[in-house]
Amino acid sequence: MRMRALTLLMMVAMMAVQALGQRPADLSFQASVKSIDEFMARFNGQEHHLLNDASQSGRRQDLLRLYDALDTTNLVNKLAMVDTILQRNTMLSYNSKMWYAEASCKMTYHKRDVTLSLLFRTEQTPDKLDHWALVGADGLTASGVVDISQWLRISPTDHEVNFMSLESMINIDKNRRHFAGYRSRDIDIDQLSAFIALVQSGDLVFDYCQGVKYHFLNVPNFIFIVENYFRENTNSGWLISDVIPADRDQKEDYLLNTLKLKQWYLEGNSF
Amino acid sequence: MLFAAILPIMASAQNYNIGLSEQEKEEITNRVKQKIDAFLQQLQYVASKDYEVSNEAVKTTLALFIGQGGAYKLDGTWHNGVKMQTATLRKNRHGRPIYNKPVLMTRYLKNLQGLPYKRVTIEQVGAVRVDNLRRVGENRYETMAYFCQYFRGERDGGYYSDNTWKSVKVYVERIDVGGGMTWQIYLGDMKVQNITK
Repeated sequence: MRMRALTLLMMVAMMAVQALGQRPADLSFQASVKSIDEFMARFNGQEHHLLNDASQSGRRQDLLRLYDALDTTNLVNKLAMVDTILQRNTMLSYNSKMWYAEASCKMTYHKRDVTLSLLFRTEQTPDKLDHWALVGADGLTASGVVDISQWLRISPTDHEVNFMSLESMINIDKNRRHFAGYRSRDIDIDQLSAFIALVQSGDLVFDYCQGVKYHFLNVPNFIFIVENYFRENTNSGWLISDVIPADRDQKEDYLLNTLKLKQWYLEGNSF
Repeated sequence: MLFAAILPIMASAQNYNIGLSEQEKEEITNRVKQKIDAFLQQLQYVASKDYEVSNEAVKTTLALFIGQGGAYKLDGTWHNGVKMQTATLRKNRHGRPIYNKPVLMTRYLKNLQGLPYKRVTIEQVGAVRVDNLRRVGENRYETMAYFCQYFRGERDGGYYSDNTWKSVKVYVERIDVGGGMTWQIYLGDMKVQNITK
C-alpha cells in the first residue's frame, strides 16, 4: 500500500512538472477531460490520456490521471478506489441511475439574489429517449426563500368559523412570508415542490448557473465527486475532486442528507 | 485575413445503440466539424470593418444555429435564442480570468462587430472532439462538440490574444430531401470551458 501511495506521489510530481513546462494550447486541449462523456470513456478504459496506452497498466494510469493532481490529500482512499475499480471492472454509463448532477444556480427572489442547488439525474422515456430530470432542490430554506425561522399557531377555534383566518394568513404580506410556520411540526418542507411552485408562480427567476459538480455512487464502497478544473496543463477539465469511502447504508445516508433526496426516491435503487 | 484550417476529428470510441450505423455516425461527425469550421470562418467576416461584409456574415452565421439564432421551440420548451458565453483574460478582483454570463448569439455577434480592433484573427486550434450522439426523438439526435479557438485583436500600439476552449450543443435531424435522406445539422448554445494565453 505504501509503495502504491509512493507511486501515485511520483505520478503527481510528474504531472506537476508537466504543468510547469510550456504546453501548447492544442496539446493541453487534447489532454484535458473536456466533457463528462470523455470522463466516462477514460474511466472505462475506452479512451486514454494522450500519454497512456491501452494496456491494463494504461487503465490504472488513466484512472490515476482522472484525479486532480494538485490535491495530494486522501491518497489511501484514492488508490483503494482505483484498486476496486480494476478488481470489479466497474464501468460508468450515461444511463446509470447512480450518478447525479448538482447545479449551483444564481436566482432572484423578489429582487433579492439567492443561490440554490438543483439536483438532476439521467432518465429514459419508455421509447428510450435520454434526458435529464430534476430530482431535488436545496437552499430555499437556508437562503430564507422559504422562511422556517418560526412556528406559528392557527387559533384552536378557527374551525368554527370555517378557518376564516386563512384570508389574513395568506393574503397579508407580513403573514405570507412566514406561512411555512403554520404547518405541522411533523412535516418537513419539500424543497423541490416549493421550488417548482415558486418558479411556476414567477416568484423565482433564473439568472445563471455558476457551476456543476457530479456525484458518482457507482463504485462499490466508494462515492466520488467530479468537478471542472480550468487550467492549462495535461491535468485539467473534469477530474475527481474527492473520494469518500461509503458502504450501502452510508450511500443511502449521502443521498438523503447530503443530496437531500426523499426517502421514497431510494426505493428500487441498489448499490 | 486568416482562415481556419481543416483539422482531424477526435470522436468518442464508445458505442451506443441508437439506431445509426458507424458510417452514419462518422458522416454526422464530419458534418459537425464542417459546421464549426464554417462558424469560425464567418466570425472573421463578422469582425470585419467593412459594414456590408460584416452584416452579411452575421446573417450567414446565424443560419448555422437552431432557430437561425432567434426564438425556437424544442421538445415542448421555448427558448429566447441560442446563447453564447464569452470570457476574457483580463483579471477579476480575485486575479482570475472573467467568465461572462451567456448572452444571446445575436448580441454576441453585435458585440463582435463593435470590437475596437483594426484587425481580428480567429482560428481553430487543434482537433474537434464530438461526443456520443443521444437519440432525442424520431430521426433526431443531440450531441456536444468541443474545440479550441484562437483570438487575436490588433490595434495601434498593441494586441490582445487568447485561446478559448468551447463546448457547443449540436442538433442533428435526418430529413427526406427529394427521395433521399440527408442530415440537417444545427449548432446550439456555446459555453466557455477554459481560457488561456
